[in-house]
Amino acid sequence: MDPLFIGYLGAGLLFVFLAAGIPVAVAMGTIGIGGMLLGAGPLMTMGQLQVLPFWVVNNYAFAVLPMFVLMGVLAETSGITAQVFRAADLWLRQFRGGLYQAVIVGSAVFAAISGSTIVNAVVFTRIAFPQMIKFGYSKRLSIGTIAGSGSFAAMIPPSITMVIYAIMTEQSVGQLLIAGVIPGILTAAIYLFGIAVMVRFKPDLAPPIGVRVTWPERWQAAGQVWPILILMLVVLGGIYSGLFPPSAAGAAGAFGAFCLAVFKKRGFGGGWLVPALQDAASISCLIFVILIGGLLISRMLVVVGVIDDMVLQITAIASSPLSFMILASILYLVLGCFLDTTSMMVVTLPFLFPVVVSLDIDPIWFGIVLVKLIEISVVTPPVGINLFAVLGAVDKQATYKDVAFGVIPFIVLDLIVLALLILFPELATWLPQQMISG
Amino acid sequence: MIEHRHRVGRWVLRVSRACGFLSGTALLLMMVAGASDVIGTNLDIIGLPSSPVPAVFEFMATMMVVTVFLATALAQARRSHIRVEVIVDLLPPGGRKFMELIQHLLSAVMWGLIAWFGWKAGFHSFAVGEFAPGLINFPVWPSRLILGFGATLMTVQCLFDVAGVYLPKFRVTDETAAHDLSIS
Repeated sequence: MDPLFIGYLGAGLLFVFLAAGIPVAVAMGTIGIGGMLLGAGPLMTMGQLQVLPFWVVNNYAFAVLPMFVLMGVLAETSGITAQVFRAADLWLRQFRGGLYQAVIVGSAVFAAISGSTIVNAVVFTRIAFPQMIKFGYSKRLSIGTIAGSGSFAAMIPPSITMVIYAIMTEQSVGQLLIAGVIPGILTAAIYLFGIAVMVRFKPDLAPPIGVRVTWPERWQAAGQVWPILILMLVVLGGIYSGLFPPSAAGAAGAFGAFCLAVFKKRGFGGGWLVPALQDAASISCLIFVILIGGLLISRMLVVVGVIDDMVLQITAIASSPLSFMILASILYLVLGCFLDTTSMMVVTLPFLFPVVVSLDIDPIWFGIVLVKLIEISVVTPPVGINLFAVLGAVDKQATYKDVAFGVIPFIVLDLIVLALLILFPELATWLPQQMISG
Repeated sequence: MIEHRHRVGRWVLRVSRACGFLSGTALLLMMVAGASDVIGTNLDIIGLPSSPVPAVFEFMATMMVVTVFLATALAQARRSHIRVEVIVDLLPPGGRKFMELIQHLLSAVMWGLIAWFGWKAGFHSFAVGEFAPGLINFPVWPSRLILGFGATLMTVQCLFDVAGVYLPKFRVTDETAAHDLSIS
């Protein structure tokens, strides 16, 4: 059988398997193994089976991933998120729509210690949504703000999404993480601006809150969130300065979050540690299993020669970096409606990344655009995962329609940021370049 | 609730849960080792001689194997592995059951192959005394054997899942997961 035909058959079969509900890792893994067996023979297949699963998991450079997962889980367990939101609320209450702004700022700050968009969205739904409803804020815009801001965790380091991209494309984890800083801040700033415009033209979206806040109250609330600043400084500062590698930064950050949880929970009472560790271990396991499957299919596509052929086909349609970026954006926006973010990335990168290389597109820039698309996909109806996360956390106080309509303004704002990132690659590449020259 | 109609299945679940606990513990040890190394390496900032933890990279890599491969069977028992359910949910009950059988069967095949070659590489590594060179020659074979063991446990879990589709007494599921798992 023609190896090229086998490769294309495998790529087509992959989508059939996914639609059939076969676990993503198994769908990719079995097609990868089967394709290699038919296209490259048993010796190559056996070699990959012996080497690849072990290489992915027994790799210090990838330890950053479970460490970031653990850091986020422990930070959430510590309960510091509520204090972050309270501080943001007290400082921003004087502005019209201050609670929306507090959610955006609070989510951005929490994203700097947590890499999961779902955790971010769920936690802020529980903390902020009841208060927003109490003060007469628009239900739809409130829940939309929470779901949209939850997606910051994918861009602002430490981002799990970014680490997965780095592993799949063999890029520097440290540079990618640092590259997310400016786009992350830019997204939050555009959200803040968007909210300010919306409440200015439609004041009933955010009635004024009559409760006055004193300066001592503000400073006291701000004083309770300093551990987050230290964690950010350790993780980002360590990576940026090159003081320690990302995996070490992750371990130090996780240790800091662990100390924070011990301090906030006043010891180990209440049995919080074991569930937190098991959750973090399970999440890490699920990600790595998908990575193993993704790398198996990726190897298969390379050895049967599909990649070279596909690069030719795609570059015939999109011959310039800009046209490719626009084409890839459309593809991810459509796929994001049906696939979860990790699977989407692992399934598509083996096909698209070789094109990125052949068109001489900066892999860091492509990574940031991809993560932005993932941020959009997690809030895109019908299956944007954050929509269901907030819906599950509102306890029947809002409908799916509320959430789906509520996120629309933020999808528009995200598309503006996406366009800026495509038109001005320096937004993504400038900071990591400083890191190299430094 | 644990369905423990089959004795062997009950044991599989017990072992999976114990492995799940070890997986979490390995993550904690990774964190402690990594953080100790960061502190030790940077002691010179406060004027003390820096003292990195020997073989910390190898230790953390080994703990990663424990974390990932010992958690996978429990994740399967909890049906946590990620899949797209939108289309399958539209099928009639008979069709869904058949698709479930195919899913578990393919999982068993893939994990069976990973287990087989994992053991093969593990025994070879043990026989030749494979180690990662460094300040301390860190043995590699334990993590290779852990991979084989974890993948075997996952294969057994998948085989029980295959049998459990049409024969409920073989069903081994753990519905005690208290927390929503979210990876995005």
